[in-house]
Amino acid sequence: MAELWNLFILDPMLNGLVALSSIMPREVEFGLAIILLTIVVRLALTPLTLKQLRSTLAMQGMQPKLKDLQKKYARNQQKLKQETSKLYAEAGVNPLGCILPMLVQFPVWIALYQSIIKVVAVTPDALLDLSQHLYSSPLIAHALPVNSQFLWINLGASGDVLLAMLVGASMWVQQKMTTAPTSDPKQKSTNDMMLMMMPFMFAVMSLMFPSGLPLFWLVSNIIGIATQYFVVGGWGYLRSSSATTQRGGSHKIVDVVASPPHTKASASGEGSPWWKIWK
Amino acid sequence: MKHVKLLSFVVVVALASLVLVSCAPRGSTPTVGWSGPTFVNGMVYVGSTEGKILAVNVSARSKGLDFPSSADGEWVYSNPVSSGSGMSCAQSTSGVTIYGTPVVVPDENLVYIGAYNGKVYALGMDTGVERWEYPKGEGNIGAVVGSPVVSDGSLYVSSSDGRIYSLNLTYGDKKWQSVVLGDKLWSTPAFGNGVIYVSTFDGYIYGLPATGIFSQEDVEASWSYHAESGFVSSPVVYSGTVFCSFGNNLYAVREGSNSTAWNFSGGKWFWASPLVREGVVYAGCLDNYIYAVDSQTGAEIWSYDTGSRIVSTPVFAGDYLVVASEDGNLFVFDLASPSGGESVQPVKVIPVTGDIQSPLCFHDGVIYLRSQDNYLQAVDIGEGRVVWKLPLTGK
Repeated sequence: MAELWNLFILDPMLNGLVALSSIMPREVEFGLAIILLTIVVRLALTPLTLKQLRSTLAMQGMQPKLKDLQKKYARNQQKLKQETSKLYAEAGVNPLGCILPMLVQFPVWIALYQSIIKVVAVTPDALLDLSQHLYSSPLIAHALPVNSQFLWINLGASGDVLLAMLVGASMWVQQKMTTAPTSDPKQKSTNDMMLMMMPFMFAVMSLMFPSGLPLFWLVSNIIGIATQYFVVGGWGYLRSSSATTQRGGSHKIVDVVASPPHTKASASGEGSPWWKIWK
Repeated sequence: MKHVKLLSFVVVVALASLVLVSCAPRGSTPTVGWSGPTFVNGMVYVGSTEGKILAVNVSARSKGLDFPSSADGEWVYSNPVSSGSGMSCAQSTSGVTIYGTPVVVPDENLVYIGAYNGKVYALGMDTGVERWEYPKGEGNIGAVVGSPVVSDGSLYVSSSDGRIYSLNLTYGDKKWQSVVLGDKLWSTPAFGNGVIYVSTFDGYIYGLPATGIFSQEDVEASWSYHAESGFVSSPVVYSGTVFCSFGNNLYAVREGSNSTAWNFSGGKWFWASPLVREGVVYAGCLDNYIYAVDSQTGAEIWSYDTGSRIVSTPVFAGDYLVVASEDGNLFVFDLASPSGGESVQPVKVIPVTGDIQSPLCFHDGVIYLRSQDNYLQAVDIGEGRVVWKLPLTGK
């Protein structure tokens, strides 16, 4: 299994990263290679990302309706199931639509993480291990060792506080853009926890791993933000929450969000985003 | 709500798997080092995979006595310092990793070793008691990967901070430290005619005055050679030529010249340091082959596929060349009467237990090696078998 993983996923990605380094300016070669590979991978996964994004938004929009159903059929689970499925079918939403694309992307992310760690090769053992994954090509051989300095970042060293903060902040922004406000205290508590926990965890992990990985996370987050901005249109719930505060309460938004789109086009994110209604 | 929970679960699982994958051996290679053995006066000195230094009496081992037998001068030195880089699971290790081979100076009655925690230690040859460490106290230099070298009454150590350090043998005081020569110095320096030869991680060989490299001008005034790629073995000087490997190439560079005399390409990296004898360079390669190359022309004389990577530096054993493949086989080649022309065959293949990455040591018909499963093994070449093996986990 490990051999298959290396042969078909890890080694091509690792060698691609090294080959990209070889065509970059020496001063910033590895940093730029990480950025470029991240962009390439994100572009390749764009269909899945969009599907995931649309499903997430559609699911969020349907929450009030689902809640109504849960209240209505609290004592009849069978009926609840049927009505829920019916609601999904009417809206043209697959409940697994936001999870499956994410699952499909994991192996790619893991391979990318492994590639960066291996190419950085911070210890002699790691360097020896790296040699097992390299293709016999002059392009690859001449690219090594990569220059692990990029801007102020030593990509082979851990503990870059500024980079960790940037990762945490960018992840918060990205999540905030798609986290719908809610009047349900339980739901709000879960949302708030997720909104804080994920950026915090990634910021902490950014301090633990060689900085090549946090750089990848940062670029990936920025691409994610840009994708959401251009595809969905605007800053989403990031701006809506600040608007809410300015308007002095959350009731207006809750009311609007409580009336999610039910048409197939808008549920799949193809129409105007519903938060634009109150903009 | 149900789907939010499911999504949360997926995210948590993804993060956990990410951490596990990144910290697991496949994501980040554990550091155990490849310290080789040194034989002096009936004792073998070696670093273990756990970062201990051990003195092993060959005679006591042959008799199967309990280890360590202090009556036979055996001891174990456990380094009190732990290495690693902060919280990073990608880099940390539980003990002090030792990559270099101990160096023994009987006149000083001391054993010297450099460690990955950026310290150089001098231990009593008979007792294993620490005599000095450099730098003293809490400080350290960059991680030491190459072996220390003794020349003209000084100890020379290369460091990952890109510098060479010259130390007093008796007290460990610093005589001088060089300017930064390169990205990392993970190799062992070589000496010849008052010149110290250093190969750097970013592809340079320097020939510098052993009396001291105090400024960038000293470096610029000295001889240097730049190869097109990095990753180096330790240089070897033979008959006015420096042999060193960079990436897939084995280079021969005449001292004082800026051009390559020849280079020989292997299928993968030449990780192990080459050996030279009677006009032939022997170089083990990660493509599984041991190559015999003409030292003047770079022409291949013969090669042999060992079936596994050659990480360990081979050793001459009288008229024989002994090569270890990583999967635990010793190949013995008769250099006095090689047969088979270009398809030279080993006269013996001796299996041992565990992987072999450490350099081999030869004395009086016996090969001493430390395998990666943390055993010191004595292999009698004549008998073609392991005559004793010792777990290096002694307290």
